[in-house]
Amino acid sequence: MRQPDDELRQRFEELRAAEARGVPAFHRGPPPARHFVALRFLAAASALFVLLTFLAFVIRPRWQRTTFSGFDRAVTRSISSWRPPTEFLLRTPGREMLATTPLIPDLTDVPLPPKGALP
Amino acid sequence: MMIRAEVEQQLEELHPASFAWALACCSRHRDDAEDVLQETYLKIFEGKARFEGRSTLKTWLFSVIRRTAASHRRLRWLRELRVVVSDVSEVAAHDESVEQLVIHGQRTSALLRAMGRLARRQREVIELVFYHDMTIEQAGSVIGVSIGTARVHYQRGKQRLLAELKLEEMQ
Repeated sequence: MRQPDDELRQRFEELRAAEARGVPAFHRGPPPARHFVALRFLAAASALFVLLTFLAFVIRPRWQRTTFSGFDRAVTRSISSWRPPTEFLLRTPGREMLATTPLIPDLTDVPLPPKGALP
Repeated sequence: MMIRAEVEQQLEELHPASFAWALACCSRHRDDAEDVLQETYLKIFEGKARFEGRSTLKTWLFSVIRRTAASHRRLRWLRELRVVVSDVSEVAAHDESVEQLVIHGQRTSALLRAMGRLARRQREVIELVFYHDMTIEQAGSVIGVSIGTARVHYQRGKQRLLAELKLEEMQ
């Protein structure tokens, strides 16, 4: 019976033989020229673009900043004080019970009923 | 200190083994393995990775390949943004380097599938010991762990691999 290690070595030997056929040539110098935009340049350009976009939104010129006029404030107040015409439909009977906590009365002076009196 | 000509000669001698290890580090993707290996050689020739004689050249080289492959994996998203501006004739010449898996027979495919189910470090130690005939200590040096840890990965990896191979045979 084959030892497990021998079995594994045999398997890996087969793998080695299969992969040995496809070994690329050894290049002494720099890798073959690849004609695409340098990744580092692209990464730097992308980072710069993101930074400039961020700055454009965060640090705006003074004259571009939003300021609120008196009219804007008046509109804001009227919006906050506006009530919908159907608001009365929300006033359901008995809703004040949900908004308050009922008091438990003091029953210490109330005598208990005699035994057998309650069903 | 080795002179450049000596380094080149030794790298050339180790090139087939280096490519095989780069393939292992790149999940058998040939294109990635070629890139990783070239980047490794470039690092060495530019002096960014220096052999200081603390281990064998092969062990040191394999650890550089492994680190380069890890860095290559992390930057994969950036590579997918690349713009190809080469002309048609250049594209035709590089047809062979279109990303493809190395083609294997049935037995070796079963072995690779079984290996794929191991934990990464177990797979690495097993491959270094059985494929590249390294000792467990050398394998530990390549992946950056102590000999004790490497032994644990080896034992568990081997057990798991044998079990997975049995399952492969049953299917």
